[in-house]
Amino acid sequence: MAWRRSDLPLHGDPAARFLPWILGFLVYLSALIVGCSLMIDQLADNWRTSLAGNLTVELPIDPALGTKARADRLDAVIDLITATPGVTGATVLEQAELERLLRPWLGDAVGELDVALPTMIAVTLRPDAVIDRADLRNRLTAVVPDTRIDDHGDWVDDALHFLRSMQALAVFLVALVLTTAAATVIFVTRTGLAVHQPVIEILHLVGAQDSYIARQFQTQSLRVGLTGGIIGTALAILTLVAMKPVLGSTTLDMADMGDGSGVTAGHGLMQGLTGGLGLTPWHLAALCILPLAMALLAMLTARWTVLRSIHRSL
Amino acid sequence: MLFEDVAVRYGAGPNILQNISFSLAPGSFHFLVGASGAGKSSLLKLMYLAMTPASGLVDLFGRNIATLRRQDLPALRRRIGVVFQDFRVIGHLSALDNVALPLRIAGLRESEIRKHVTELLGWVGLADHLNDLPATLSGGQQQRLAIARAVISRPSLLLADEPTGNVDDVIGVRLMYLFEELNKMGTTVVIATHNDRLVSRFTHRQLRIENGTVRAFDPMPPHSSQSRPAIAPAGSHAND
Repeated sequence: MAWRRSDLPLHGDPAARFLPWILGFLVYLSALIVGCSLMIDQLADNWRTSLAGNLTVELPIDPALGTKARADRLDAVIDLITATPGVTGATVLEQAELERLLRPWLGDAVGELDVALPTMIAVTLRPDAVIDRADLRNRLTAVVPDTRIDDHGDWVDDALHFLRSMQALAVFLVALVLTTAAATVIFVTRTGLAVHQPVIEILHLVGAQDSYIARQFQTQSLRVGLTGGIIGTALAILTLVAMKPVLGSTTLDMADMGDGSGVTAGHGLMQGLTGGLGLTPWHLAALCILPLAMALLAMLTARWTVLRSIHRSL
Repeated sequence: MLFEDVAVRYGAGPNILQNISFSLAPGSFHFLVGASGAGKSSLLKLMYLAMTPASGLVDLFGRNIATLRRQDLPALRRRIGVVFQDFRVIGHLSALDNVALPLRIAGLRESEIRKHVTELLGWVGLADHLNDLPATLSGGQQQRLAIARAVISRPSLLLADEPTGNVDDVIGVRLMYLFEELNKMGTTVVIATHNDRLVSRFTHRQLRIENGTVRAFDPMPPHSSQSRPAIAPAGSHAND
């Protein structure tokens, strides 16, 4: 009954007329932030799982070695790596592939530079493999002194730290947006209290409790919050869905695996890093909580404002 | 209702009423008379719990209103019906919804509310205007609407502030008969008015405000007012 009939014509208030749109816009911003934060979380998971199955072995340059000696040394290293339990493959990155990787830093002239590049071996591991890095390094350095193993741990830690910082910023921004929403509801509710003061006085005089009057405002705010929330969330989901092709195109090809599959050594890595980013059903379900949260926030804020304001009157 | 040495003032201003002492017996009928600006409305505000006294005791239904907790007010107010000079009907609600307001606030079922309200609006001659908005009603009809809202919950105390101020004498007298009917059903009635001509047509006791205080007296000879409830003077300023 209270949903349909109101003793106060709050829906016609000039200040309240724009409230659904203002709340809708704020929910839109919140949904975008939350959506991006969820995708950041997904990205972090992707990075962790993708990089956990990769190692890079770097063999130092030894100008003293001839071509045959270099090839023998490389074969010995490959044999050692592939014989290690948990290793599923080891691929040497060719010169062209190394140049392509360096091109973003050194420019198109990278191929013309007379610079010797270290030999890089992309090692893939079983997902559940646990490699003793120190043992592997000892065995490799016994064959090729100064060999380096990079499991991308430092890089991943830095990247995850950055992502977590972005998520913390997102939480702060959502809190800011919700605070703004609450402040807007407080303003509109106070305006409504002032505009309808004569009717509120009559309600009091015929025996209305403060909670009865608060219910008029909170019902209206609940309705407005829900309306604005649904509009804002729907628009935000459309925006995030529209962003998916952009997010999906950030894959970088790095080096062909050389097995004719067309899969590159870096492809699997980077596809895992950025590919497939987008809203999952769980993300959508999480976003659908936003209209309810906004409606609840608006309702409780209106109730608190009314009870706090009219408590001063007799 | 008991007033003992009550003073009334607004904010930090001077007392506009002071040394007010009287009591009203349940089921009594009184006129509250005095010149415009004498303080009739302020005294009524005390009675319908819209303000508290600056000093003194106001006892209503056995409760000292100065010590009432906020959550106690609604229950007491539901026992009081108020008719305002300017009607104060709610413009966006229909006649039916205006009168139904006290019952809805009291939490009655909608079917009961509709039955009672329809019956009462018929009683005050507004049966054909159930769904009309107040703006479409005449002054007299709005006044009757306000009265219907005031009495729908069968209050123990009915207070009316210049109820005939916006209607002609004929309707004014009819409204007074309506109040008398309510009084016969046991409701204590206090009518504030400065219309001496109207007051003189009835034999009810009067509370007269003069020089910022209240004097109570019976306009009729004692032998002719057997059925009238007595004013019980509670202080030196109440003259019976």
